[in-house]
Amino acid sequence: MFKRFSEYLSKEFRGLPNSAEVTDFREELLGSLMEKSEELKAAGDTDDNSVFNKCISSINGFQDTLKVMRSKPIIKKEVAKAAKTVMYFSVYMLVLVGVFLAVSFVTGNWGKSWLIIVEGCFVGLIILQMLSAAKGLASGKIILPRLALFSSVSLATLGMFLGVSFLMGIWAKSWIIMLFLPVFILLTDIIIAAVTHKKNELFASTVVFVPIAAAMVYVSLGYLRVLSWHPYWLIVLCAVIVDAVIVTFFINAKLNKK
Amino acid sequence: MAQNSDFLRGHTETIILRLLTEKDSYGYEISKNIVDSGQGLVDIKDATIYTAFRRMENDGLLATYWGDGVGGARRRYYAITEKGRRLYAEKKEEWTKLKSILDYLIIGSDKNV
Repeated sequence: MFKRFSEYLSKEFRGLPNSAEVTDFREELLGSLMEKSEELKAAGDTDDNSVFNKCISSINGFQDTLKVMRSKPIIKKEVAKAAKTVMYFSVYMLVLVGVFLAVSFVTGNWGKSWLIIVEGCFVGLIILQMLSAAKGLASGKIILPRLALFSSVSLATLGMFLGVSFLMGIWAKSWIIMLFLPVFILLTDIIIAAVTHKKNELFASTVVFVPIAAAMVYVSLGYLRVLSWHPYWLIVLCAVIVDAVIVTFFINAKLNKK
Repeated sequence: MAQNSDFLRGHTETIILRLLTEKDSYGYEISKNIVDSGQGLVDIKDATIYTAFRRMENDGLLATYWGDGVGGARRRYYAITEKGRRLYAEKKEEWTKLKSILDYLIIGSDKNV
């Protein structure tokens, strides 16, 4: 029935602009149709065609809303939003340039102070992406918010790498920060799964995260000569054991539920 | 008595606001709630509800978020905003006055209105 309703709505919505308002309305109607069909089936109506027709007639009149949506000029709301974004961006850039000039004149360190502009741009992009990810997650979307958060984490890592490298001049060591990018991305995935209460994803991400994080910690501490390579390879072995424990707990919990 | 959606004309938004002061809800539930409370005398088209939602959301009276629905579909939940609460309080007061005037005009009474 879901497919049939979906196809019906796709036909009715054909030709409408692909705006958030239109897609939200389509999805809302689909939800309503599914509610109605479940209710009819629970009441004993088993004929699919009859259920389909009753459901469609229950939303009769929605075409008037579509007419309004069709006649809307391509959305002044979105133009206003874009103008606002450009304005905020300009103000932000002006502030950055102001801070850059002030710091440069005061310290005289022009060779490094340009980092303020670069890092400031990174921070701005990260904030934008995180806001859009939070909005996406709140409206139940998963893929785009995840991509936005991964991109934010990547930018933050790159920003950290550039900052540490240029300010401290330790290029031979600072590349290790980039080695941790997969760890940070996996950690983000764990946080998303926890926030959205997706237990299976939380489990899967944790199982992947633990050994990779352990391996990265081991490699970087070994390379930096904070720890010796032997016997600290045991860190990785411990991670595998921790993974085994997590898997066992998860399977047990699943079995108990059944 | 035949079902009649005219009873609600002009009050749909206030009714929706009132229902949302109790709890967040979604289109199908709100529509069902109105029809079920109407004792068979009131009918409302889903399309009317959805049109009202669009308008109220644009006016900042409602906020929305998605939740799980049935059969793979999602529910679009509506929550009343602070502005919506203020408007509801005004409309409620307006209705209380109007109700006594209508009582007087339709039923007739000695009491002052």
